[in-house]
Amino acid sequence: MTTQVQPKPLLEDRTFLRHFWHPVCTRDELETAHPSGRGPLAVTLLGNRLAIAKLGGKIVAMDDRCAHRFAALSKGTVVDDTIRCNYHGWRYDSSGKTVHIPACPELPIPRKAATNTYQCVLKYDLVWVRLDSSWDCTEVPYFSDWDTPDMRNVVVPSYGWNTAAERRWENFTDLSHFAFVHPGTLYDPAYDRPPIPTVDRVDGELRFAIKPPPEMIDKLPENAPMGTFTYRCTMPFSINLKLELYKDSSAFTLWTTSCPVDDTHCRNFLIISRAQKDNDPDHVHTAFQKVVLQEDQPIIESQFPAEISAEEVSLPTDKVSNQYRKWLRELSIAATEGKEAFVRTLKTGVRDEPIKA
Amino acid sequence: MSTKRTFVVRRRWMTTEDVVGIELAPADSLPLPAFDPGAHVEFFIDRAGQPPLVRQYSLCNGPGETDAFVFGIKREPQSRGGSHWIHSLSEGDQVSLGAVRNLFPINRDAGSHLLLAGGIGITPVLAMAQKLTSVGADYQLHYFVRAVDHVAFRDRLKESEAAGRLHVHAGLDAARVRAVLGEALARPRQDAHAYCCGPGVFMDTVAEVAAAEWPSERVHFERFQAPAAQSAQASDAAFDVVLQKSGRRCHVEAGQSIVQALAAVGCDVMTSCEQGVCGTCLTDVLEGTPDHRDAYLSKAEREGGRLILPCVSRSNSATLVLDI
Ligand code: FES
Ligand code: FES
Ligand SMILES: [Fe+2]
Repeated sequence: MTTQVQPKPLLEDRTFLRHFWHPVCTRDELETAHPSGRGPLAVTLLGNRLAIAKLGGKIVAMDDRCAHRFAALSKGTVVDDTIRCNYHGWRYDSSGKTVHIPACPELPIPRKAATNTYQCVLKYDLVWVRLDSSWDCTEVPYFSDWDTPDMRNVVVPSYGWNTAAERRWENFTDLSHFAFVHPGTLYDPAYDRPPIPTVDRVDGELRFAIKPPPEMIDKLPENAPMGTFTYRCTMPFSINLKLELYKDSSAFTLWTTSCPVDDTHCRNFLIISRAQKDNDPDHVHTAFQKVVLQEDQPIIESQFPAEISAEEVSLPTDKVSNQYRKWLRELSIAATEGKEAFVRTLKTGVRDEPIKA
Repeated sequence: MSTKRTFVVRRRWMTTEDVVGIELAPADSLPLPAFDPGAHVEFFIDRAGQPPLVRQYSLCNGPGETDAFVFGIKREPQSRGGSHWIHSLSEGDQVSLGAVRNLFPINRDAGSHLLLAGGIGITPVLAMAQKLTSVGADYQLHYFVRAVDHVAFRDRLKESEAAGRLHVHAGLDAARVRAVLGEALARPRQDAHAYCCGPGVFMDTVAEVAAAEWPSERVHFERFQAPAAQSAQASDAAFDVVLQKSGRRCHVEAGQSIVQALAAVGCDVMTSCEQGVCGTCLTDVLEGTPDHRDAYLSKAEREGGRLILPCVSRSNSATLVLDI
C-alpha cells in the first residue's frame, strides 16, 4: 500500500496570529447562551479554549479551565460579578483571580489559583479577543459602514466551516470561482475570465477593486448584489467588500471575518450592510447570502489538507491569493524576529507597480 | 464555457500600413449575439501540436452593423503569433471565435463622455464614438497617433470630425501627451465619464492625470491582459549563474530559464507555478543584477536586487551569484 503524500503547509508557524484581534462570538450569541444574558459561553481561538462572560458589565475572555481540578468554566454560572466553577464552586473575578473557595473560606487563597485572561472588546456587535497583547500593535479590523447613518446593518449568526480561516478568506475574495460555483447566483457564467486587479498594501490592509460587467445584471436574480467591488481587507482574515450597486448606485457592503478556531477549523462572521429602503426586508438578503454560502461550503471543505500549501499551482489570475499568501508568510516569519520586524512588515505600504512590458 | 463559433472573412483591407481591417460573418448565417460598444471577442488561433492561442480583440462596429463583426488589428512586431496570424488571413478564410464580452461599456447615466485612444486603442473607442454620434450624445474624442497617416478607420471617424468632436494628436512626445491630456481632462462635468484604451504607458499617464479631478469610478480603462510574466525568449541574452553554497557554476542559455539550467546540472529548485506568480522558487541574490520578469515581488523588492524568482527572471549582469 502506498500512502498519499501530504503537501507541506505554507505557514509553518501560525503563532503570529495571536497578535491580532479575532471575533469569537456575536453579542447575541453571548447573551442567549444563558438566561442571565451574561454567559458563560465556550469558544475556541487558535486552539485555545476560552470562556466568555459578562462580569460587572464588562465582557471578559479567560482560559476555560478552573485552576482547581481543570473543569471547564464555561460549564459554570455567572454569580454577582464572578464566574463560579460548577464542580467545587470556586469563583473567579474579571481579572481571572479566584476570589472565593467555598470548601475552606477561612484559608488564604493560593497564589496560583487563577486562570489567564485576554484582552477583549465589543465592536460591531461582535466579541473580539487578542491572545497576545504584549506588542499591542494591532486594531480591530476596518468596517466601513457600522456607524454610517442611513445604513442598515444585519449581523448574521456565526457559522463554522471545516477548513482553515485562510481558505475561507481566499474563497470570499476569489475572483475566478464565480462562474463555476455561483453561476446564475452571483455571476453570469459566460464571464469565466477573471480580472487581475492591482493589489496594494495600505495600513495593514490588502486593497483591490474590480468592476464586473454591468450588463450581467440582466441575467442575475433581482437581489444579487452587483456593482463595482471595492475590497479593503484588514489582515489577516477580514474583508470589507463595498459595492456601489449598478441598479440604483446605492451602497451595499458585505463585511466578513473568519476566526481561526484552530489549524483546520474556522468560525465566520458576516455583516450585511445596505442603504435603508422601503420594502426591503432583511430576510431577502440573509436568505440570499445563505444560498451563496451553501454553494461555497462543500467545495471549500473539500480542499485538503485544510491548511494552505505552497505546492498548490498558482496562476496569474490568482493574484489576490498569491499576494495574500506572500504577506501572511512574511508576517509569520517577521513575528519570529520580534516586534519591530513584525510591525514593519504589517505597516509598510506597498503599491502594486507591475513590470511594464 | 466559451462556445466556439466559426466565422468567415468577408472583407479584408489595410486601414493603415500596419492595421488590417477585417469583417467576419458567421459561417452559419444565423444572427450575431447582441453586443454594445466596448465589447471584445476572443479569437482561437490553432497552432500545430500546441494548445490554441487565445487573443482578445475589440469590436469596431457602428450601430446597425449587426450582420458581421468588424475588427482593426495591428501587426505587432514582437507578437507571438496572434496578430501575425490574423494579418495573414485572406477573404474566405475561416476563423473560430468565442464569447462576446464587455468589460468596457458606455455608462448609461453619463451626461457627457470623454474618449481617449492611443494608437490601436482606437478600436473600442471607435465603436463608442459611432454609437454616441447616432444617439446625439455629448462627447469628445482624443486620438493619439505616431503620425497622421497612422489614423485608422478614417471613414468611420468622418462624422465625429465633421461635428468637431474628433481631435487627432500626431507625433507628440511623452511630455506633450501629458499636457494635452491635462487640458482634455481638466474641469470635468459632474456627470462626465472618461474611457481610455491604448498602450500601457498611455493608460498609466491618463490614470495619473485624471487622478487630480476625476473620481476613479468615472474613468474606465480597457486593458487587455498582457501575459503576467514574460517567459524566456530566444532574443534574451545568455548569462552565468554561480551557486554560492556548492560553488558550482552553470550557463543559462537564451530561451532557457535559470530553473531549467540548474535542473540540467542536477540542482533542483523547488517550483510550483513556473510563471513568476506564486513565490515558491524565491531565492536570495548575493551578487549581480537580476532582470525581473515576475508578477510577485513588489517594486521595492525588485529594486533592492537581493531577491529573484528564477523560474522566469534572468540577469542583466554577465554573472549572477545565488544563495543556493
Ligand atoms: S480548478 Fe481550482 S481547485 Fe480545481
Ligand atoms: S515557481 Fe512560482 S514564482 Fe517561481
Ligand atoms: Fe463564493
